[in-house]
Amino acid sequence: MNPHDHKLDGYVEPTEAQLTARKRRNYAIGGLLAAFCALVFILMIVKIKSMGIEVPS
Amino acid sequence: MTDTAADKPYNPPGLSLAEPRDFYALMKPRVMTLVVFTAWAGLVCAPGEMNLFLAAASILCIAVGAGASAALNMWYEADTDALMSRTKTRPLPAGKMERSSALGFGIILSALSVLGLAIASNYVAAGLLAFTIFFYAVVYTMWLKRSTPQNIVIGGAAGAFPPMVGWAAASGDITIDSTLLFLIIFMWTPPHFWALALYKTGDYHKAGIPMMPNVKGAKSTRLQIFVYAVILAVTCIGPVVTGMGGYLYMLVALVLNLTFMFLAYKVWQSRAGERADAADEAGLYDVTMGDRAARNLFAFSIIYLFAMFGALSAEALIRSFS
Repeated sequence: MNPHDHKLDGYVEPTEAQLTARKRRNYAIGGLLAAFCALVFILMIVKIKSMGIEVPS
Repeated sequence: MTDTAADKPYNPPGLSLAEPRDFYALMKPRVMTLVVFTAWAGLVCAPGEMNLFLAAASILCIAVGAGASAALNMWYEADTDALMSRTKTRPLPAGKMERSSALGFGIILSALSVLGLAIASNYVAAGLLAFTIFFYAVVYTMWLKRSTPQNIVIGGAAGAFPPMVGWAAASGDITIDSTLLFLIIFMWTPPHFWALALYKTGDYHKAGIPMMPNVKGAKSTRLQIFVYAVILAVTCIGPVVTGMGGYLYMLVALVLNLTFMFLAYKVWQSRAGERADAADEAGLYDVTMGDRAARNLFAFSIIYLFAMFGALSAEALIRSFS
């Protein structure tokens, strides 16, 4: 028996619907994190420029 | 046994079935619309120029902050939400996700929104937003709501802060004008919520929430609605005195406040929120008509707030372009 096949006590086999919902949540979290990083980056650039500081190219 | 929302578990076994739209629903998107609009109005009315992108990012952060506090509210109130017809389909009482998911979602969004606002505008606005989230989630939801019939009077401050946050985002300051914007929403909140509470008395009673009609009775609540409508009308003179509101605002405020007071008067004179004996047909009719008056006031109060802040913003925009 493969030791990796051992399931924890109280393990509930996920249904197809639960796996699909989890996948959608993962995509949403990934998308939002990427959007947040982009927002902070752009905000920094805009703020620095609005303060009259040259951004090196 | 019937399967009601209250019977469903808040922590369903196995993986969650919650979709991204359920998390979005935790943010009370309809309430967020009003928050976004009033925050935008505060930002537009404030003196000083603001970069368009920074302004948009600030509004986004305020909206996310409002959504975060709504998620924290739903996390705490999952038990009472399951008992009320208006709220039992929310993601938690419907058993779509675990309570801890809503708590984590609320905390993370709170932190990101405050941090984002600090970057997009300034620390004054970010501090105000953090205080607003704290006030709504802790002072109102955890403390006031279940302990006093004055819950929405004091707790109304949480909903009144967004224009102040918007103003602070643009100017970095708290002034008399921004306080007036706060006061308009603060005085508007009691008649707005009590009108709803009058025709949802049964719901609040079932959930054990001490709303004014349940504690002091429908008659006292109807009188207080009218009194607050008059105080609100007086408060609306403030922007004219300070010069923030011009002729357009004066005209809009006059028409809206007269209508608001008229509808509040109709509620005061009605039997809204009372319970009539089923055998008493005339009494039942009076109560139904009274509930309709309360519904009319509740619906109009939403239009009222949009129109008042719309008029102030329109004048500010006209001033900035001329």
